[in-house]
Amino acid sequence: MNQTLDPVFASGLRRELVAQVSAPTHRVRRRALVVGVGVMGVLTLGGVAAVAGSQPPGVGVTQPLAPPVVVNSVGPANVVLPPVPQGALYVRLELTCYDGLKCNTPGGGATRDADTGIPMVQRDDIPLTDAHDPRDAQRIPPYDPAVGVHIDVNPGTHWRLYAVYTDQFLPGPATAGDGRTVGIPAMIPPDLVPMVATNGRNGYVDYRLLTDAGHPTLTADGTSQPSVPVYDVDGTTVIGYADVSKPLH
Amino acid sequence: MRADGEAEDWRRVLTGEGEAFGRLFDAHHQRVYRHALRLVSSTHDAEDITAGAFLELWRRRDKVRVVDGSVVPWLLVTTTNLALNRRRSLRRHRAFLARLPRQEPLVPDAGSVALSRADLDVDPRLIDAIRELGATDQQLVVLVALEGYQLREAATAIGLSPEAARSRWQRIRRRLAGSVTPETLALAAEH
Repeated sequence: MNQTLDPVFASGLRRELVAQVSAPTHRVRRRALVVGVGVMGVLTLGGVAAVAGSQPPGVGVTQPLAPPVVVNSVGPANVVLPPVPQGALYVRLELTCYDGLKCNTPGGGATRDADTGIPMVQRDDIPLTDAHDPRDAQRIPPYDPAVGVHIDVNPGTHWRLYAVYTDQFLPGPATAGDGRTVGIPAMIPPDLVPMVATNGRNGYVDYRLLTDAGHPTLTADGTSQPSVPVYDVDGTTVIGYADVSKPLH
Repeated sequence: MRADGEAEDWRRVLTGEGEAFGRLFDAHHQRVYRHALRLVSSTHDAEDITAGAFLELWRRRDKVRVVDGSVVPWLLVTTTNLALNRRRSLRRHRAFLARLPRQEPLVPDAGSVALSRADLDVDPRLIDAIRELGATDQQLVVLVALEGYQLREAATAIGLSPEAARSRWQRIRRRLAGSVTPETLALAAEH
């Protein structure tokens, strides 16, 4: 049996592949959203209950203890988060990797591509104190502000980190007005997660647009993606837009 | 192919340049095919899997993980998964595969199958044992035991810490001890 690919088959396959790649694509591009003046202050703190916006219909939604952080970069890094707010017990991380095969934070587990098994989003809860929640089986060391969160990826990997402080290990999501789930990501991320719009208003963005379905353009220092709509807790009313492509430095 | 040249070709592929994809195919199709041959029982299946791996490279271009400028680790991992789940995973490419020219008979010959695996220095029991492992362990064994990556390189490629890879490797060795020639796994573990 031949250990090299049959040249006739290879030639035919090559021709078909080149034709596929060269064919005009019919992908529907998302409509670019125009951003107003101002940049989301992702590395600044807003104080306790910063996303305390309107309550009904999202009654019961767990509020972050400070504005969520979103940063983008390339390759391994340590991310020093804003000062830990009073009462916070965990920082919740969602690390999305847009290329490379390695996508790790200190603990947690990854959402993997169904066909390839390659990690797409690594989600993690890092304790902020030694008082681990009894359900926290990993018991990784508490976050050290002097070191930051280690982003363990391949050199050249483009990534986005979403981090949010919470006083709960596994906050449960609530239901937005349109039936989608809303809240701080836990083992199963909700449809909408907290975010601050560029206009300073607190609301929620589509988790998938924030992570693996954002399809950002990969740049030299991170990612570029049109601003994403920020919704009120009803899940439908747009109250602003958020920049999710802010670079780490 | 130089890694920087491959990275440039991949960038061009993402802009829809077909010939750049052709160059990537030229550079890597034999390695992908040989890897597929180790995992399946006929040249026909290995051809299908090779075609499927490159089709997936294009279809999933937005999610392909490039390592050190190369798409080879992604291709090998994808080839493994296609081979181990080929009936399900190649279904979507049935029409495409039917258009490709075939030179080999479609019915596998058991004698030539055994020969091919012997020629490829693969213990057939290893292939059978790999099928029983979880997805991550499969990738680890394939990259280390079949493709010659060092354990730490394989760990990097599939997103494991070196410590986690060593721990998994020890567990895999214990699990496969009864079905695989010890030399195969022992050599790999020394990397």
